[in-house]
Amino acid sequence: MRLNFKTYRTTMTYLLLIAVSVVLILPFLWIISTSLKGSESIFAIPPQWIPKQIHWDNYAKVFTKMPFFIYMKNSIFISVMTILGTLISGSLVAYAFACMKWPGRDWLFVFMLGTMMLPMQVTMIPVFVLFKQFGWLNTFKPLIVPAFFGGGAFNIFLLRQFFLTIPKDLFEAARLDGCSEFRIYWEIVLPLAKPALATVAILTFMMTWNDFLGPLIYISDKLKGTLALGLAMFVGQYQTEWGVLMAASVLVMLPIIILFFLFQKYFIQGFMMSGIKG
Amino acid sequence: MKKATGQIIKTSFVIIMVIAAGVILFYPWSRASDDSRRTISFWSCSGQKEDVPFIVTAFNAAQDSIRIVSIAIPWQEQEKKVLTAILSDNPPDAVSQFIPVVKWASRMALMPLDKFIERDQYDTTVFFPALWQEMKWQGHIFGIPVSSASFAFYYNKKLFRRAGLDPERPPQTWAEVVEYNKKLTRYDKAGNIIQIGFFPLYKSSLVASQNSPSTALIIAWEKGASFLSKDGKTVTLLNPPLVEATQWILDFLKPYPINKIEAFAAGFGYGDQQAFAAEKVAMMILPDIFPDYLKQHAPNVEYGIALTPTMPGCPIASSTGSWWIAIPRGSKNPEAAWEFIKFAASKKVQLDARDAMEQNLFPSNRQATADPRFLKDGTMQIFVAHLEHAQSPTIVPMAHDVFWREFYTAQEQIIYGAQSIEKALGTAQSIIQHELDKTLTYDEYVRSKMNFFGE
Amino acid sequence: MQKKTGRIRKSPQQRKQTLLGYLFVSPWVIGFLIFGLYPIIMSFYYSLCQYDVLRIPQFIGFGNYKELLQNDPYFWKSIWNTLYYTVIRTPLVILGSLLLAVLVNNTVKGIRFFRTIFFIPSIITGVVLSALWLWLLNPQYGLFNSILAVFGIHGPLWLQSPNWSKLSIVLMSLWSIGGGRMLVFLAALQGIPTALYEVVDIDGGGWWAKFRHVTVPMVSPVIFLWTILDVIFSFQVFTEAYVMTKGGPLNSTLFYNLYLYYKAFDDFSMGYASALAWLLLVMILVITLIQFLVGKKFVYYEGK
Repeated sequence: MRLNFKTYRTTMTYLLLIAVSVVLILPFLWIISTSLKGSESIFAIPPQWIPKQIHWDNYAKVFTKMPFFIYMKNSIFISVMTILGTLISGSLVAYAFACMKWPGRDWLFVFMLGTMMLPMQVTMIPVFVLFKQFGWLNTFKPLIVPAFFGGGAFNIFLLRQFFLTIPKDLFEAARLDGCSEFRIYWEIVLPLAKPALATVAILTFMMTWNDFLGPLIYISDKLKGTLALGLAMFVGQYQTEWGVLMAASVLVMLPIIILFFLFQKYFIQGFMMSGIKG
Repeated sequence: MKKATGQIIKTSFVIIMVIAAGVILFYPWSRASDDSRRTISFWSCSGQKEDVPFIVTAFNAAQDSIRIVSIAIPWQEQEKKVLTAILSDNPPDAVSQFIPVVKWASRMALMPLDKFIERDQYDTTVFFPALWQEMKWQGHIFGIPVSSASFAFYYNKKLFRRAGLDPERPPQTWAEVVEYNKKLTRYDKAGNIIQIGFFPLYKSSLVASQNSPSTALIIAWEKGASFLSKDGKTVTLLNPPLVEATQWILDFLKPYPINKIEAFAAGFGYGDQQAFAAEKVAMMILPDIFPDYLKQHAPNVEYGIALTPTMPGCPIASSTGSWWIAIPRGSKNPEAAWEFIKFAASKKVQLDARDAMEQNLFPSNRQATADPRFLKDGTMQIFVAHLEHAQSPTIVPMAHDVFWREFYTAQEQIIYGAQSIEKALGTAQSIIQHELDKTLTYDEYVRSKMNFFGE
Repeated sequence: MQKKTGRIRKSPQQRKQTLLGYLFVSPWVIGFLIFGLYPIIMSFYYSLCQYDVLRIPQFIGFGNYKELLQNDPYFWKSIWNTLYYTVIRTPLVILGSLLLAVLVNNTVKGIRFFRTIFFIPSIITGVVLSALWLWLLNPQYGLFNSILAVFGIHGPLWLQSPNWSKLSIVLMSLWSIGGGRMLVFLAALQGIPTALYEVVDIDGGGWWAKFRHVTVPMVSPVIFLWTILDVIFSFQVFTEAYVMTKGGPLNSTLFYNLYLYYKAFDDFSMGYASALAWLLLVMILVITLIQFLVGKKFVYYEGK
């Protein structure tokens, strides 16, 4: 009886998983199918899911029309550095906001949240002027260095809220034992925060990988471009080669999908393993 | 056993990834150039057909003192990129765009070219008037048009025949368009429109996706509409020609409920789903590049090209637009950039570019359009005639974007039946006027503080 | 759980904590002073000016603000559109992604594969995303209306209809954001001790009871956090409308940030755009503070 119930449950779960998957994956399959089409069948009605004539040359064109591997190298470099900076500095700051007591903390926190709410459209120009003064134009610095200073209010906020859920007793006990704050942060909080750190890492990665505006305004050298920037080049005012654009976007998305598939266990199981809860 | 295999696969996968990452990161991808020529930078837009790389290559091959390095900017964000480049004090030496020259010139972002024009006795009369008009600001010249677009009236011969119309006799007046339309419009069993004779475009999204100008504007221009006073200070959107033109569109669309029209228009897509290519619309004003477009996407469409219909007693009118090249303020090599501009605007290069590229370009240079090499295809005369009668889409230079946003908002309000013609155009006019006043006041203030075009 | 807070600390230790607190938070403070302060001050100054970025600013006091509040129909229109969008989108995003997370918080075989699939929509961005949705939502040949037609339903005009355009954008945002949010909730769900669910099992409760009495309270801090963030993000909605509708039809998708963008980069009225930005800041700040006050009552923090 119990076994039957379990089988029933598993079947239902699979059915549900598959149903939702279909809804979520169908559009992606459309992108892949379009990436293999020539201009004659892209907008055909009804859509051809499997193109009559498969155009692998769309993918070849991506490599000839932009320096794909150079852009990939640049994108990887910028993303890795940004993630590194965000994780290191963001967790420190979040620790200060969540686990320590000091005068002005809550006010500073509200202030920090406030800075997140000013639309970047109006700060973009002054920020640009600032980086110009630093002599950072046409380098990766404007895209990377800010991440080492907290990694943005959004990430700090995320980490802080997570740190708040860690039982206070843990710190108190450690502090009574004469543990230094840094050791508490390093040896107690960070290991416990693995899932949160992994979440921040993947969100930061996606954001940096897809960021188009930053590279657009700071980079003017063709060889310093990023994948997201290269992708935007395939869109024209009158002429867009949809097949090539879709092929390029599949190639740009692929690394994220692979990374996600490989690393998901780190941010999903980390918390269970620690076994500290409750 | 199974677990061990899995681990081997996983480990080797990780190793491969690491090696690949290493190769990508450390391989010396960029090669140093051994070209000793003076290098100047040139920015064009992505999707600017493919003539620009052609011109650049041709220029680099044609002489050996200057080498151009060009990059393409994603066109959606071209303004932001140029804006920040000018702020950076290290702009490209030459830049090519499609937006109004005045938008940059009035903000001191471009270098006046008068000095070069005078020195070289450069013949500026070769450019079509509407294109040249756009290059001027406050008596100075800020850019040189290098290519343009022209429009004409396309009609579908097969659909004409099917409707019992003479495929060699396109409509010559807008009244005839109404007559033809009645015969060319078809419905399905549920009463939905499946084909229409003529479709007036009243929304910016449709105008953009269908590569066709606003119908109301064309008719208003035929009737002699002018939207700005001579001194450039008073907006007259609410003027009789535009009111009449809009009324014509309202009357034209009267037989069709708005939701039917919208559902039908929503089927206009890209590629072979473009309204004319998909044979959903039998008559349409379309650009000169359209024969190529049809060849690529819908080779079976049998079409004719004719002059745009007119209102009784009115001349034809048309729209255009120019790709221009200008030298940004702060350019380090204006002289070399000027040489490049002259090269790109010359008759020979425009003709060569046209022949070399599959996607044809309409020259900005009248000498090029008068050349037999250009006129070998009989229909080109029609496009030249349109371009001679064309008006620039830069209508209120100092409030350009507001003008177009408000123009289409008003059209939409009217077509949806949300507002009367007078009310909608009046509201739009006052908003544009307000923006223009603000810009002019600011302009006056800046002039009093800064030396404008001083050398 | 709560025992030692009553303890009175000695002041040297307190001073040490304060000092260390400042030290830990210093990366952000220094970063803010270097990269953040100047742009924020400048944007406020510009909001008091007529300024087109390429030329000098002209100081006009509160002229921009006055005009916005008294004389700009688009200001109010865009606030209404944005509020509408926020109110509908926020709960749907939270609920939807939480349910997705519950679904993949499972140990059945192949779950990693399903998680990856669920995650994929959130990495599609930009033009590709909009091209995709223009196709999905096309009233004539789009996937949505084709499916509806199978059931004999005559689908709406979606993006072409002033009544449906905002909802269409909500739908698109749900689809494209669900996977990313799912991750966040998944991380939180993994932290819930299975013992709690077993209690419900013993009491004979079904999945709804588990969801209602265990899942929701246990992840309430995360729900709270993302409600706040999603309200902020919803207020800043921009790209979808910019790429797909340009604000139409009949300005029904003219969202606040889209209007701001038009002002800043189409019209080069950076002063006016800055005033818009500062009013937005005030609005979001007030709403966020209210949420914090309300949230305090409902959120269960295990750590406290």
